Amino acid sequence: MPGIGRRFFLKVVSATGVAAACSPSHAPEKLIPLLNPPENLVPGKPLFYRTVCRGCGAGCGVTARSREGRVVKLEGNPDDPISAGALCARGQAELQGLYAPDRLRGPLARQGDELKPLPWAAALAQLGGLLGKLRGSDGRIAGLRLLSRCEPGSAGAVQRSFASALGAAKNARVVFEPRDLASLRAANMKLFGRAELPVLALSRARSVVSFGADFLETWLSPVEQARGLMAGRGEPDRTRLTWISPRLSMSGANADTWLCTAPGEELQVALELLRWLLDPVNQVAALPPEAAAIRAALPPPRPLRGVSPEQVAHLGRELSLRRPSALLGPPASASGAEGRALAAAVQLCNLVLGNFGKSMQLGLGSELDAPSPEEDLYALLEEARRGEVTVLLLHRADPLGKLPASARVEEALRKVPLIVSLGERLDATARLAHFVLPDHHALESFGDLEPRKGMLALQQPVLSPLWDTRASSQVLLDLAAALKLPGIADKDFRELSKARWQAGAKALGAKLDTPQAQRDVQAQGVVVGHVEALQPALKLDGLAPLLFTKPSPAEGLHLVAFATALANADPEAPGWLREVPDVLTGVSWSSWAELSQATAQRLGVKTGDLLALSTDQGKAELAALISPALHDDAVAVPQDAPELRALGTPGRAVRLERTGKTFPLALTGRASQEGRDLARVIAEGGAPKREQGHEQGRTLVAPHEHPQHRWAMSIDLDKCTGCQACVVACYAENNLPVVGPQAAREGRLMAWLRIQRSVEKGASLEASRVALLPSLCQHCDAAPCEPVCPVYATYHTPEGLNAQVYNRCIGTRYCANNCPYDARVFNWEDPVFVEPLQMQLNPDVSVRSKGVMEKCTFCVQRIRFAEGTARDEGRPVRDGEVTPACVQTCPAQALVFGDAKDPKSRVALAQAESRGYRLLEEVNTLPAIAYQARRGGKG
Amino acid sequence: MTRLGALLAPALLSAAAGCQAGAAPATADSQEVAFSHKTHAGDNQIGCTVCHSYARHSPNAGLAPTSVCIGCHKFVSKDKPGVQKLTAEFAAGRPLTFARVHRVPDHVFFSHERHLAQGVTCKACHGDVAAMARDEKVHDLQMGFCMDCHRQKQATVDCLACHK
Amino acid sequence: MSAAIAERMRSLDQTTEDALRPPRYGWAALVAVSLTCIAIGVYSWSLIIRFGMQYTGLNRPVGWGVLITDFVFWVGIAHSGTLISAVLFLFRARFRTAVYRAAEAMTVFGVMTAGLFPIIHLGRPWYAHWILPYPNQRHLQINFRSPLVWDAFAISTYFCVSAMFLLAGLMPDAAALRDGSQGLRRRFYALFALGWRGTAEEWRHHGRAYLFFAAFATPLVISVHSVVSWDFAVSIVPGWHSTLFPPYFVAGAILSGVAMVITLLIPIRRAMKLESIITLDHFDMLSRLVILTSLILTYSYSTEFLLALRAGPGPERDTLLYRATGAFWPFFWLMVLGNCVGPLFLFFKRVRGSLVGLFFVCVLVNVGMWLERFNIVVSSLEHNRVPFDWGTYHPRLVEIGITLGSFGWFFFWFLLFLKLLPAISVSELKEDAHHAALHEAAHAA
Repeated sequence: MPGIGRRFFLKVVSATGVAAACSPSHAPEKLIPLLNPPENLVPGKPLFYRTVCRGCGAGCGVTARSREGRVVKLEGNPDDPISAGALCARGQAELQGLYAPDRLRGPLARQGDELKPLPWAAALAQLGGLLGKLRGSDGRIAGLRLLSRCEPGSAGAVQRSFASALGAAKNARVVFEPRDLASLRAANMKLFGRAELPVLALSRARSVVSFGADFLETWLSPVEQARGLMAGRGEPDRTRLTWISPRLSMSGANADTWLCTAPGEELQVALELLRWLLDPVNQVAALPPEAAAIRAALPPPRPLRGVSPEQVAHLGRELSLRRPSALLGPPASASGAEGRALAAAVQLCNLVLGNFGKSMQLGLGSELDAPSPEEDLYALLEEARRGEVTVLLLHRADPLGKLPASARVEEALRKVPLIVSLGERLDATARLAHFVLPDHHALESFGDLEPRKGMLALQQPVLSPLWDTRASSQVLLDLAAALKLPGIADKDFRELSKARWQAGAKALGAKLDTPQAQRDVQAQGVVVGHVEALQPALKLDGLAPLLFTKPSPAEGLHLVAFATALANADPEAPGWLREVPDVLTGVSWSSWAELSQATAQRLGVKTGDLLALSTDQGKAELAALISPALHDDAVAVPQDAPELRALGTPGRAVRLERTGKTFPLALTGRASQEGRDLARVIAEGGAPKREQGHEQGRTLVAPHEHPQHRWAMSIDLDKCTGCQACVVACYAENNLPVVGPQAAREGRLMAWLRIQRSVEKGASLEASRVALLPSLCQHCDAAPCEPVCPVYATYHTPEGLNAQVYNRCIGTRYCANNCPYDARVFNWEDPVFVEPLQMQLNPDVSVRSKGVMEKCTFCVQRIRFAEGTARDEGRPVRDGEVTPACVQTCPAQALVFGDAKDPKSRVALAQAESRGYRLLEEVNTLPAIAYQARRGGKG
Repeated sequence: MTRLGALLAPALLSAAAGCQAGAAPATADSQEVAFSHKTHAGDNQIGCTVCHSYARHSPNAGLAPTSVCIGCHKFVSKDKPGVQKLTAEFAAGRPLTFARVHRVPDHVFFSHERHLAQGVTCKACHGDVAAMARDEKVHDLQMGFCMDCHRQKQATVDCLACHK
Repeated sequence: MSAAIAERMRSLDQTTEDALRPPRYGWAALVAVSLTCIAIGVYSWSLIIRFGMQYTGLNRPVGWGVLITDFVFWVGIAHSGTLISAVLFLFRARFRTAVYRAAEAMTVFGVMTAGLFPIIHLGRPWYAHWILPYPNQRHLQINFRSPLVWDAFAISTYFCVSAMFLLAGLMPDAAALRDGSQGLRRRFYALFALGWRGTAEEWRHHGRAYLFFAAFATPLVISVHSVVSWDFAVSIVPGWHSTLFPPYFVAGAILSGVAMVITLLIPIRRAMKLESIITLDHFDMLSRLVILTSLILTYSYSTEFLLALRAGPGPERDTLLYRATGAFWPFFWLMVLGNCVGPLFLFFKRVRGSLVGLFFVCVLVNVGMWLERFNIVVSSLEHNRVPFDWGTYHPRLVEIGITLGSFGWFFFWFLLFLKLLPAISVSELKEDAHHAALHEAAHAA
């Protein structure tokens, strides 16, 4: 055909069809070039900044990925010894904190009974004036108090000098950490004279015992501890975990043994264990010299209700043989003398077993800016109530929102004539403030902190401030300058912080002579020196009163608070942490109260009934949820639940009444495998049974060729903790929308990766096990979803990915029906990203619209990025260079990703493991994901 | 057959041009400043990447920051009204705007970097810009156009190469 | 030619004349009702288009629900026509003459209704045309391995053939009506008559063509619903993945189709005073068909369960037990009652004979057949292979509205047909009558 080719002809034929199909053309689009190009920013290319996560006290180093000046993803800092490149769910969600729609966008000042916007200059001038008036003859303000969260760095230093320069009282500055492990701190002080928290090296421990300490969720340094514990998992002789608590929480789900105590009985168990270890008849080797003295100080034994002496003896024997071990506890919720006693007992066990200096390290915890003892805080409130506090500065402290109602915080605050809140959002306390001077988000500010001794973490802004905010420390410096406070010379906080960290870094032996060297350190994000853990000397005096024991708790229901890796129950938490279902209960978007099956039956309560809980402190209404793994005397409530404030500190007796109303809990997933054995458990050293009678790998059509790579994943169920950091990372990386409670109730969560749970009931309550199974698209070689799509929207790529082309999908949902793993997710509505949350969207991934099917892509954009870099550098892709978001962030390193075609790759080796099996082998889909069965388990 | 082709070609082009997602062809009045690629790239032989400086190492080619324009126009042809406007706007700290001529839909992840690295010339997609006093879209930049070229050059036709 | 024959012919003409004048008010009311239903359906669909499928009860894991149920149901309804007209024609079953026109019309309108659902249930219906293999500038092809593509072909083919079949049969009657009318009506009938003049030549061709169509349409009866059944059988969903499905679906389709024919004919016969033409033994014949297909269906059900139970523990068995005992157990047993138990009563001549009894049984069958499709589609998806994801599905107003709309759409066309075109084939009746008369004459001589 001269002049006109086939393709051309086809085009001609279809031209009209195309014209009909295409969207109406919009008004001409404008291109707006920059006036001046920003240096080292290339549009379309990511920039990486190192900084510190301030989500909790652990102080993990993070790497922030920024695109066109917006930070789009947080990942662990591989050079940081704490996070080692991983990040927990809450850390991932810091991003949504940064882009939170309810963040304060400028300073506010009280006019009459409401807070009105005010420019900074005016606000500071007014505040300075007021403070000036209040100053006494000595230039100080007697009634000035500063309440701050723990700031182990320059910020803390500035606050201290400000408080001491302007305030008169000796405890003018009070450090307030609602989640601080105060009991443990106090116990360490009493026992070893060190008011610090230990640093755990669980990788060295062969046995770990936790007295209800959620060390894989929020306790101390979860990321580091998960890595430590799981380093010893997988191999036949693996790290054992014993869980001692009335409730089997996420950390407990990873345990081999569960001692289900009655609520509040952990202390008794700890004491009995200590008694057993010290009893000469048991001939525990290598007891310390103080053994006898400790034994003498032990209170007389009391009968145990929940746990039998045999179980204690069994545990004691295990610990005496498997050394070093680590005993952890108590949880943050344990308070008062009892909490201290439990902490002391636990630490003494560690001492007796010689764990100090090995798995349990003292002398490393930072002593900078340790949270004040509770007494100081309550003293402050009391003074306020007496009207002695004239000025109250609050830095990221929300006593009204966090302390129990019994603390009568509001009454105290109302008595204070001048409250200044330096925070991020309008929390309960800030609502009562006279000045609200919004602070930068941690990701917008400079700073430095000492997460632990011999370590310096550098904080730097990863994007320019979104709103009209100012670093609180800078505000204090400005005020100091305005008031001409003595002893505060610095004008600029950034300079101050820089000088400070550089001094610190030099002390740790870092070379900082050239500006380049300084930049390198900043770019590294962390300076690590070497500090030896010390062998603590036990102070025997006052041991007996410390280890007091009270009669074991009476029968009847008691309140138990538990921590969760996510924050479904916390109304202030970002969407990701509220929507991703709690791994053990499947609840999202609300708080709940757990009852054991027996108790629920006794009271005639069903899941979803609205219960009225009442303690001697107050009342609260919570939705009931029947838990398969809870002591009959316990009523368990997540510690993030606001209702807890009314009920008071856990441990106290609680009454339940049915209100007759029900609450529509958003519950996801059924906690049962119906005996299908998807998440497998094998005896230690055993190999999993294979399906019989299926010819593996035989397919009608020849399996796919993979010329270059065959991307594959391996998931070690013996290591997966169920923390769901991977799930949240997936939300962040792949622009998954948060759909809200209603859609969650309708079973329309958009998660590509989910942790499936199933509870296998044992003979006894304690024998019941929770099996967790991370489930995502298996990228099958013979994928059932591919042949059924009428338009080729899904197909198998040459690299072994099961691709989904959103813009080709017409939404028949046939693929989802035909996927045996239910890995595919349909867009039931158009996604909504509330301003400014849309700034977090990853520009490398399409935002899907309604009516389109979507699913895990193995983070193809990250694969392409790595391949691109490799090609630019003219080399093949290295093993471990490509990591999907989930693999990258896994604290336990349970996920391995790589090229299965390369026999030496980590994933290929992992897949060859004897515990290895594929999901639903009988369907013969030839998945790219291999699971390794969990070891031990039933025992 | 040839006559048929000749007959249908204009119809096709207009139809195709008509269905660019949101791209109305640039016209004389839609441009704030009468910028001419002919003058710059043609007569004065200025290389493309002088102004579109990211093209070689980023998916985005980038557009010359006004400061770059000023770099030359501090000295060159200050008498021209367009240049005077440019200088005035720059002094006032206001960016110039240009009507967009070439565009691919959001679900297409096109990378200038990759294409240049493979030796694809700017001409191939943007036409002989150096000869254009006023920019025009020469190729529809629809999927068919990409596919033709990818097939010719035995480049990947994997959907995930462009759609993610 | 005796006066008797001429008399008979006149009476036939008279009845057909009457047939075209159904009670005016009743008819208008019915049309109004069906138009309202259509409006409701259209509005419901517009909701889905504007705000996404969130307004349906669908979720993860239940991706298909009422809409697909309706689709299969209507395809089923569309089966009677071809069977009755084509197959019975080939078998020279004379009793078909009285009823086949109505049945064929039902077929055509049934397919027209069914054809809407694959489009309605899409997440992005505005791209429905992508499912057709048309040349496009993107050089994109469709996936010929996908049963949904097969559907597109099967349905459209079936529609064309059954429509042609209907029109071919209409020609002579339309011509007769054309000659007997003026003005617009004349024009209208001329359209269907296609210039029919009734010459011997034309009759011969017509006879041939009709035979050919019949032969051509017969395999479709088997193929179409087999293809539809492959939507499920080809998948690997427990409760869908079964080689039994094609014959099982075809039998079911015929059952539902014939039942629907009877359900419609009984009132029509009354309303149009066709008692003299559609006689009781016509219904008797049809009800025998019902019994036959119902028995096949019963057999299929039991086979399905026996196989699943013999397969031993596993998804297959769980799903089927769930179907019978799970959230929708009343639906399942109502289905058994309608499709297996009810028709058994037709073995009794007294039930067959009384139109009331027959009508009741057939309505029950129609309900049962709809529920059968619902059970297959929904319960299987509710209990797929991963127990963690087991869920339930509850239809929402939108889906019910669209279902209502589909009935409205179907009956709207059917009512128009009754008003404008002869619901019974006058020409063939005359033929028969003529034969009969000649027969008598021969005997008399």
